[in-house]
Amino acid sequence: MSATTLRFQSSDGVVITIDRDVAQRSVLIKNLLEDLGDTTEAIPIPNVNEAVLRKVIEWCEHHKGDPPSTGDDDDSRRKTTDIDEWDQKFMQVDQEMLFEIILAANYLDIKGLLDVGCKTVANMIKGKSPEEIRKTFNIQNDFTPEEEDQIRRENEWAEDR
Amino acid sequence: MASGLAYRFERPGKNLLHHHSSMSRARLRELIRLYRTQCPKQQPRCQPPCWQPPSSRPLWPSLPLEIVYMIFLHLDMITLGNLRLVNTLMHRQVDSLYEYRMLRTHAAETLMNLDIARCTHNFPLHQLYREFCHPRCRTGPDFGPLLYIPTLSRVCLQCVLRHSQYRVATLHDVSVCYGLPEDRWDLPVFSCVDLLEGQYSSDRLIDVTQAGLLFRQHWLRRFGSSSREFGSALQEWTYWLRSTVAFPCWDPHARVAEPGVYCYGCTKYWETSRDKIKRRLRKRVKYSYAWDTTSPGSKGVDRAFRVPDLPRHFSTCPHVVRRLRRGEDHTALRFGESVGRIFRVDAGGERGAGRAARVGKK
Repeated sequence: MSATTLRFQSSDGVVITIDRDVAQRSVLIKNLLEDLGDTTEAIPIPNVNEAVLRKVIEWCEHHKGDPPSTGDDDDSRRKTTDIDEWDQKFMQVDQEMLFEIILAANYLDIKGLLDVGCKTVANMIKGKSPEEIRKTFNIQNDFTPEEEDQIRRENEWAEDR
Repeated sequence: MASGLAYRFERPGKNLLHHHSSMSRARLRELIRLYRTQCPKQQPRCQPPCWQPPSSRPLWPSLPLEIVYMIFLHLDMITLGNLRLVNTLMHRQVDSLYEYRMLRTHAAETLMNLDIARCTHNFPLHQLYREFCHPRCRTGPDFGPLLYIPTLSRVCLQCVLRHSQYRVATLHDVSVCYGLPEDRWDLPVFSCVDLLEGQYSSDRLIDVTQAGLLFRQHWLRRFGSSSREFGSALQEWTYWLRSTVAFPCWDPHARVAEPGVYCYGCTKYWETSRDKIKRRLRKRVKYSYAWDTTSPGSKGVDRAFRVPDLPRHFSTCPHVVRRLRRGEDHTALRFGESVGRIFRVDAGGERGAGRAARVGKK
């Protein structure tokens, strides 16, 4: 019989114990466990530090009973802004942490978390002017006025024709 | 499988919500610019709890391109246009997004019409692209050459004219019928331009089916029982076609955008029947749409195909024309007007080329 808990070691050396079924929200971990079989040793997660790993685990624990995403039409017809209330609160973190969570979800292959992260960033961008987007993400404008004019013209469909 | 003659519309959007043909370029540009400037201000801002304070260092470059693309797919075309103006990195990233490029290249006219209807900001790129690649009508078995704007659904003309799912009404009428204020309808609302005056009319339209569903949810939440049929009076004030634009279909494998191909035989039969009826009635019949659907053969004339699907149709079509007679015009006619050039589709579903393919040999 397989162990009900697993141990993971974050990139900063901290070992965290979690339930097996929670850990298996990650496709990477699930595949790893299928290859490794039972293990009592801590599994290293080299790309994710403790703080981020704890956040990821928190999300996986909350969503451990969720059915797997089917990616069908009904799913994709939902509005971008439709993020579950709990997920919205969960994503109420500073931008650095948000980006780290997205990267961790991508690395660990947790589709649901990656999707929520991407939607959150999309919501931060949606409806903003270029200047507001620059402010939001601390980006410098490196266009010359002529280049900017050219792009503005390209953005207008009617002028393409 | 059989071969036959077919044609495409030179102007697929004619008689639909198609401003390009009826308004000056300058006025179109003005309307689009105005919408694009005002649009960000109209959209709901992302306030707490989903707002994150800016980072002290630029984090965007740390995101891998595959994640950047996933984020972009949740954005609408206007926001993506704004992202192109942020800096060179974002400009490059947006322009390299396949879905964005294909839509801009092959569905520019549809996008322009969505802009003029002031509803582009409602639809994320992934939704638009999914419909761009979906060939069939969402409610029928045929190819769908049109896009019903309120639900962003690919649709064929038969369905858009007959199916109750494709009706729109003015926001005002819907609000009066259901007794809900206009600002409570969290649905895509789109504007109509008075083509003669080049100005927006006061009518703003929404989808009747979605409005009914939303109202039922609202009623259920509030009173815990199913609602009365408040919307039945709306039937009298619904519109068809005012919410539909031409929308080519993208085949990512063949890498072609198909606006829809029509059987020339079906069109010729319909055109001839129409002429006969007109002569019999001895009066001039006036039609408000080029795509009339009441004459004999109208079901066939309105049916669009993809080229590979035509040989199956030709094999059972009683009106199929396999070659043109000597001296016969090479363009298909509807209401006596040339609508598109005729070409031959062979039994294998390939488009023929050259004069010999279009005109029958002796």
